[in-house]
Amino acid sequence: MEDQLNDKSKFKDLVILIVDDSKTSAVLIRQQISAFGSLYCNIDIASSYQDAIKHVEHRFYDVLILDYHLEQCINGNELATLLNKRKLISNQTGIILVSGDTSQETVLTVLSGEIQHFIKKPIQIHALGIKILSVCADKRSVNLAQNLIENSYINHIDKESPLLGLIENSHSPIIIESAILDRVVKNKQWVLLSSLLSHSITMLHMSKACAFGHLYCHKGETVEAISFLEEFLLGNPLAHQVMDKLAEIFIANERYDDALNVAFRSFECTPSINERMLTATHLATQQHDIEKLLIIGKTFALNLSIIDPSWLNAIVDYCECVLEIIKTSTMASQYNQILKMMKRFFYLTKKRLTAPQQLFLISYIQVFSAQVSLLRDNKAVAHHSLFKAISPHYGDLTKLPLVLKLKIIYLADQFSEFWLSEMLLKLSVMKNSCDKKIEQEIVALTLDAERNKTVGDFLLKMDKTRVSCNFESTHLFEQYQKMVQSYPYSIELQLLFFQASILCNSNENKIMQKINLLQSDNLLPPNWCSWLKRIGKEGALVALPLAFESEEII
Amino acid sequence: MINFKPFFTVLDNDAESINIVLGTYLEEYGDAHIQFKGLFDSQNWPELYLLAHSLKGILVNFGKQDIILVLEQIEAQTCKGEAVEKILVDKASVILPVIKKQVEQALLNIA
Repeated sequence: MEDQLNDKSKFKDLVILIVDDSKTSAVLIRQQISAFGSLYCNIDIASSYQDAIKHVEHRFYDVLILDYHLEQCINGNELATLLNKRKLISNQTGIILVSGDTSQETVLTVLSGEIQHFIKKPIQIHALGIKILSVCADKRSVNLAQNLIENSYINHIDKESPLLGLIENSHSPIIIESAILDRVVKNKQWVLLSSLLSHSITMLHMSKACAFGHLYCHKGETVEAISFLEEFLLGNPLAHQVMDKLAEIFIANERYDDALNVAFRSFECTPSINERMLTATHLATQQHDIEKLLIIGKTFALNLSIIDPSWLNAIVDYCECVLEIIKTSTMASQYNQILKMMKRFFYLTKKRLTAPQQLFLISYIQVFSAQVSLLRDNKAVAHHSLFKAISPHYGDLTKLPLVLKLKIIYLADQFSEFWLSEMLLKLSVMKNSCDKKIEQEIVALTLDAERNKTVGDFLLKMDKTRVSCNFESTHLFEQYQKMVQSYPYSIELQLLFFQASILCNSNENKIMQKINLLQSDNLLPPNWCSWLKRIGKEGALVALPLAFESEEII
Repeated sequence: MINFKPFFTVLDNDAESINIVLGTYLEEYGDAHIQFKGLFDSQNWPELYLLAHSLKGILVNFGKQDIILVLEQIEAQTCKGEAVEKILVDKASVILPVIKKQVEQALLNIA
């Protein structure tokens, strides 16, 4: 590798992107790379993550050099994850993380993702050159290995030797072996895995230990798997992948307490990784370990990755677990402690988010408080919170994240606010989500026969009332009065009842108070606000419009 | 006094590269002492953290100096969004203009 540094042709055609919010740092790296023969026109610089996204959308890069501490709340590791998730880069692009911060959390967070190369500042020119060359060489080896593993025309025995050859001939054998073993485990190619492990000559490392764990489990030797992984963990206490595997085995064997301990340790090592937070959260909920659950929330809020597209999904999932705990909490002091901690959780989370993200979080906080109110049987407060959650988004419901739409649909259904839930459902089925579970929930909702019957019955009753009464005021008033008793929260129904009460000169104070409260807080859809003003001026014969012009929204 | 030798080695002693990087430093951080003061006055701790961190990332190339220790302390205090001691910002405000002069002198020497 050393002698290749002098071969300028190795660098000449490499296209490299440097992402660093410090222009001086980026220029320094560019000058260092150009000393190896890279052309200026092949080295781009991005000073923000948005800028980096624009660059990778328009140009293929052989290597990305990312500064770890990019901007507030965003690090280079999260940027790499985002680019991978959005499929803007593939395994054809090598990534090097650069940082002056070599704290345990930083290094582990980097290595728990897909990035295998880390270089410390100040960057020595020689080390940088070698790192770039090894990233390119590793990328080629990993691609060759992956093509070979995926090739269904070659049998396992014939794959083994070339795969071992790739590992042995590499300058970073552990990186190549880790990539190979991870892929073979993912593909459940147990025979190949067994022979690769038996011929492996590298020292025992994290991926290899996990692969052994998988193999033991596949053979049904759970006790051996646990003791092997636990022993590895004793010598390598920060091996987060091993902790993940152990947690998985404990869960499969219903040893939830052990699973929680190890999942919590794994989360503490890499607190910005949503998946680890959620595994620990679900286990803490199951074990009713409130203290751990609240620690997870606080740590997660302080480390929330705002460019992870599933940031809100993770928050919602966490809060759902907290609600589960609240449901079963019988002591008032415990209940108050949880709510106090949740206020802190939302405060810390909000501090990390961008302004547009904060809007969605604020809406979700209202949904959460509505759910808490419902648990305390305070329906009126919950109903008001529902309107507080949705009203800031009347102007553009399409932009609401799918998970938020789903939660509002559930809530709106509980209050028979079908004008809202049906509109959101219509918008949801047209949208793809980063979370397949949410998409499945949406599909299940559309197919839910019981729900469809409830909504259908409501709409049918509304139509029947309208048609049968034909604006005969007294009859209309009586019919709506009956319906309001069955659907006491539906605001659409209350508006119609209010209209009928004006027509037959009945003074329905309670309904008026409710409507006035929503109107004065600006919580009603704009169409209904305008309608209320119109009937005030033009009389009660003006028909109630739809809450939203559906064509406009869609 | 900064020892520029290790920094020049980082750039393979290439005069053009040294010029470009030092020029960029002056452009970006020539008024860093003013930036520090402004961020301290507006109590913008997250931005102050990023400025200290970025600056440290560059200045570490100029060898171990007092400023690195000061920047590390500022980083440590502001990394969780918490307030920083004024004395640290004052120290940085004294050292950074001196570094600026030394960088300007180094540029003149190269020319």
